[in-house]
Amino acid sequence: MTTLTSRSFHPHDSVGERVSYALLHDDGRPRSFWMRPHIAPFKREMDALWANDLDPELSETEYDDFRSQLHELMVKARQGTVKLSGDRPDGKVIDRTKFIIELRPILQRGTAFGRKLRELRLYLAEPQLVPHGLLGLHLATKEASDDGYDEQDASIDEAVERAYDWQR
Amino acid sequence: MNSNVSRHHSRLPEARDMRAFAAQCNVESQSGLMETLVAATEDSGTTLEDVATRLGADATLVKSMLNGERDTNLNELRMLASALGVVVDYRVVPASFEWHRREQDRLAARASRVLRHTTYGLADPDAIRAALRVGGDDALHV
Repeated sequence: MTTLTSRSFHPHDSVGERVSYALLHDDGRPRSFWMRPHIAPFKREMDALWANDLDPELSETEYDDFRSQLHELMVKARQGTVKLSGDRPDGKVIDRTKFIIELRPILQRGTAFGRKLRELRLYLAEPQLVPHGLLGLHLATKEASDDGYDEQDASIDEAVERAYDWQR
Repeated sequence: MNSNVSRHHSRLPEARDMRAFAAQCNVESQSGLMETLVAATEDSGTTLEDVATRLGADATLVKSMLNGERDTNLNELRMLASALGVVVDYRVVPASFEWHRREQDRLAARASRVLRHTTYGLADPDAIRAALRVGGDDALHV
């Protein structure tokens, strides 16, 4: 007998609103919050970033830089001040998924010190089931050039699968 | 090097601790920016090998950049500053200069804007780590 399982994720109606449009409590605190507990593999990736162990191609300096920038972006997401369009956006809604949002530390494309650079991406979603919740899904790196698109697609697929697993 | 650079360094007692070292400077040209980084390397007491290790780069290559024998791109300038714990505070440049609008300084203006992000690298790493990793709804109140 074949068992059919539903693989879906139900996002907040207006995807991106929680991270980019500040909704505040009466006392001024932001309504959005990062959900706990983290999805286990996402937490492992965050721990790896802090242990300089996410990507062997990153230097100590790049780890420092990415940590500080990611921290800033996560705070902005919570405050609803992420810029999702225009000049130098902080992130975007991934078109092909319609519900995955990526946060991107500042672009550093090209090379440095004779090697190709890597970029960091944090993928998250805004589940309808948890009002104002921000669900961290995946933290990944990719090559900082057009050659990095395959890696990026694989990371987005992984984020989608984790969202489906969470919804189940 | 461009001599038209004003630079204010703090020679802190803890300057040998690379993470605690900070330099503030007015950046008026790209060469001035590099001059500042060279000075920061000397002031911090950090060895070239240490800097190269932090950058994941060859020490000879880093040395040639600091000597001005090899051109650096914006990524390299930014990473070099980050490795040295340098804060480039472009906000102290008087607005009336409008130096960032001058063609010859456009690159330096971009660099200083990008370098500003290294400021955050000097935040207390333990506090950031705690904010992101410790549980609770208030974990990201920073």
